[in-house]
Amino acid sequence: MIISSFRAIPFAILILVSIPASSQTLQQLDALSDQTANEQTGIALARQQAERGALLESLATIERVLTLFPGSAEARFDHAMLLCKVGDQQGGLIEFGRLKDKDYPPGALRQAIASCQNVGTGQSS
Amino acid sequence: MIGVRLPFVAFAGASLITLGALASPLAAQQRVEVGNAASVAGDVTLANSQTKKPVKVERRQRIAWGDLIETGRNAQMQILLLDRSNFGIGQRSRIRIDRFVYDPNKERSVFATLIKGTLRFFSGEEAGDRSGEISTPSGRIGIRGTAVDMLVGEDARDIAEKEPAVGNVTANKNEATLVILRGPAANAQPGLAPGRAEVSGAGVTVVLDQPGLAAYIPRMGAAPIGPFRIGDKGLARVQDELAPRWARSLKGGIPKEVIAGAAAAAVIGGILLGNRGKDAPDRSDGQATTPKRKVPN
Repeated sequence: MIISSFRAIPFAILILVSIPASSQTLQQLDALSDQTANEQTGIALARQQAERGALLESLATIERVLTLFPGSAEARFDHAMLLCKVGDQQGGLIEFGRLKDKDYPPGALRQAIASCQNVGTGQSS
Repeated sequence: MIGVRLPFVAFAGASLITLGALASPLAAQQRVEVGNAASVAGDVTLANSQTKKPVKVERRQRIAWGDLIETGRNAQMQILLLDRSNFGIGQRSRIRIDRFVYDPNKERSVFATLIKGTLRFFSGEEAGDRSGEISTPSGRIGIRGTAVDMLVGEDARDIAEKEPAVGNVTANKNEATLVILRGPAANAQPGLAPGRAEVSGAGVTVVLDQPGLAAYIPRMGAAPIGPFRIGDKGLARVQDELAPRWARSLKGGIPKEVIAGAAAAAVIGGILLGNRGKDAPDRSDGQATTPKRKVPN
């Protein structure tokens, strides 16, 4: 009993020192990181965040996807659109300008560009 | 009897030792973990007071107070903080996380130093009192509920000095600081707090409160020049520095219709900004003699 109780001392210290109160949240950050380590789950997460209005979080998420999947046409499109949605029309249009029509359904880029230009005017789709 | 008391002894012992540990110099060196390396690409290293020799950063690695992050050529990473704020670090950059305090729903404050390179900051959770400050060799950037890009060094100088509002000024290639607000715009989305950055140097503060507005501090001791609207080429280059891997995968040019669209957006922005553009900075020595707004520090 005594031995086992003394074993609890370093164990308790270990818990108190190595695991901060926010450890659960750090684990959640890892889960977010894991989701963006996959192109499709990362894009899905970014869209969920955008749907609930967390546009900056969504932008950060899609940028993490693009760090690992820089050639993702879908992520690039979403990234440009998110810039537009936060009101950075200039940045969004520059990014749209770098995309290629052939990577998207016919007319999609043109429609997105028009939508971006109308952000904040009440005409955006 | 012993069986009943020992858990208390163990608890008390642990508490005393822990209190002792907290009071010792060792506790002062205890890592305060505030986030993780949420994505990493290329050569990224970390050093701190305990790890003098830089070690390679892996995804999910914990980031703590005092950590010095350095990225190599064509490298980039994102740090996700506990409030889900995000630091995007571009290539050839060096940044130190000085302090991050987070109490959910009450407050969040973040302090970091951008020593060189490129940094993008996205605010995290909207709840509570949020504040942040990024120091650079020539100034300070106060950030609140915002998406903001910052560059320090030769790239900042090269990009800024191609802007008509800046022109040729006496700059220091290690200290030049360029700051660009990316959003959110006031009219972007209901419920989304408008972005705001306060760029300070030499006792002068310039406020950026519209996406695309920029301020430039050419060297230590100089006041910020601005705000001015950054051009498309400059903004594109900032993006390339932040995300070199995307830049390398994007070979196409900018179609004329998009440039026209961006120009139209800039014109609309110019109208919204009213007569701001009429206030030209003093280009003689990089000192902005008539700052657009001064905010008490």
